[in-house]
Amino acid sequence: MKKEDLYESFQSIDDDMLERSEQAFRRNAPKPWKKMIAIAASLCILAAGALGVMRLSGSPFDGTETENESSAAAEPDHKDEQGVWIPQIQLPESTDDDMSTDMLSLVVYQGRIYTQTERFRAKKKAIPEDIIGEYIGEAVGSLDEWSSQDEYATELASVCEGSVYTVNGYDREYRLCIVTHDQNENGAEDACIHFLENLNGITLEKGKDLYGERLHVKEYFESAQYQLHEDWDWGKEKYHDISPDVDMAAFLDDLWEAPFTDEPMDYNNTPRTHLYLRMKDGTTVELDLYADGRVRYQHMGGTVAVQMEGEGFRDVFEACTRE
Amino acid sequence: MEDKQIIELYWQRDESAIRETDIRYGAYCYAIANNILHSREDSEECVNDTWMQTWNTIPPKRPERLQLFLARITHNLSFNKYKAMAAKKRGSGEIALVLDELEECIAAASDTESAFLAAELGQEISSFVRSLPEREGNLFIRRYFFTEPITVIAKHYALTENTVCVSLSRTRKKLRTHLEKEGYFI
Repeated sequence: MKKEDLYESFQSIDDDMLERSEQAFRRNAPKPWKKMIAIAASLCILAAGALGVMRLSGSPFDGTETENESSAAAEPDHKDEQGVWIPQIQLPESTDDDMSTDMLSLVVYQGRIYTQTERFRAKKKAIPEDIIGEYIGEAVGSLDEWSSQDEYATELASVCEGSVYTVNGYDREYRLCIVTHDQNENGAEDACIHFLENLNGITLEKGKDLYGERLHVKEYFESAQYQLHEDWDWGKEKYHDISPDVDMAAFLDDLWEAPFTDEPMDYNNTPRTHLYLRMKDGTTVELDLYADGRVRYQHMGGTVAVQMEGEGFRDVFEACTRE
Repeated sequence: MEDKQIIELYWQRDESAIRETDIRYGAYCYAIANNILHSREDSEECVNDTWMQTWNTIPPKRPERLQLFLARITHNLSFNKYKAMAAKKRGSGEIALVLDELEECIAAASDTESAFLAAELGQEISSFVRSLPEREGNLFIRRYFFTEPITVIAKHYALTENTVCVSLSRTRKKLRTHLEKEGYFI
């Protein structure tokens, strides 16, 4: 027997076991799935005030429409709007045989659906008071990836918990966070902040709509690093400081005015690299830079990106591909 | 588009089936191929071959789990390509490490007269993995079926790399004992 024979024999592992490993792989990804789902359930209640406001059947919201729920209650026609309309996430009816389980890392608050983005580890147990803002509520739930629609609206019958806050310096309509305590490699507990952003049910016309109004990049920008795509692909946390010769201010100016597009793109055949904008508040804005000029916010779904042109982009892209 | 709709497109011989498969599973299959081949160009070629083989296989097949169906095809094609490349030069990347690790499960003199049928060995491996505790089995599958790097597995299972390595090492020893007991090494 050769090692290659043994390796090939792993092909015979039954589907149910492969499936089990896939589910566990997604479930155990470094995202607090269950906590998020729990929060989704309880914040629905916090925000709506009564279960009658939302039914979560087919469409995420139904029933009485309040000011904040208008975008969720019905999908308006956005064909005539300038920019790219990103439809509101539809909460899945069933997660059987459905990749949309990954979408469940979310919170519903005041009619908006926030999905998980960055995670920030404080390296200490104390909650970083400078980042978190107003306490919104304590979420406890019992939902998991296989919960039915009815269970989404079950009041606080749960096993998981998390504290939900606004984030200092950001609009609560865009960014929230939950704080958990996770064990570090030494067995001690660190406070972890999981950011949640409302990146759906919105229209984005120019870069400034996202990077300005919502993420305040120019205001908070401190420094930039990059990671080669191969390192990113292999999960190697190898970051390089961007050359001081690169004019980041010019890049951000161009980014502000660049139009959003959702044209299909060939992910596999377009060279790309990863730019990390380190903010003064300790957060990071991660951008995917594609050789064709597209710049995508790492947490943005689909092909939605801004289309950049000119020297500003080319200089940065080139600087971010140096080994 | 959901799996059932995509499969229906294949059955209707609608070429948009390939585009929809690529949108839904392109990155997934690419990751599997790239874990084995560690080459963008070769991995992309394997993904394209996967679409072609899927087109030629559905119909008559109607897979229950399209994702796993594609994973197996990509895995097969990628490993065949790897072997063809390795015949010319030693392979690199994760697959070389994975194969070296698996060598520990094989008796030193087993190259000579190891009388076994590939299908039988496959069944044996499958039942061995089934007998493992869930987490141990999952880690083993991630490493030796999906050929994933230790760092990636550790990250997704919220474990340290050392924990993953220790678990895999113990399971490899168990596998070796199991195969010895079942008479795979003469």
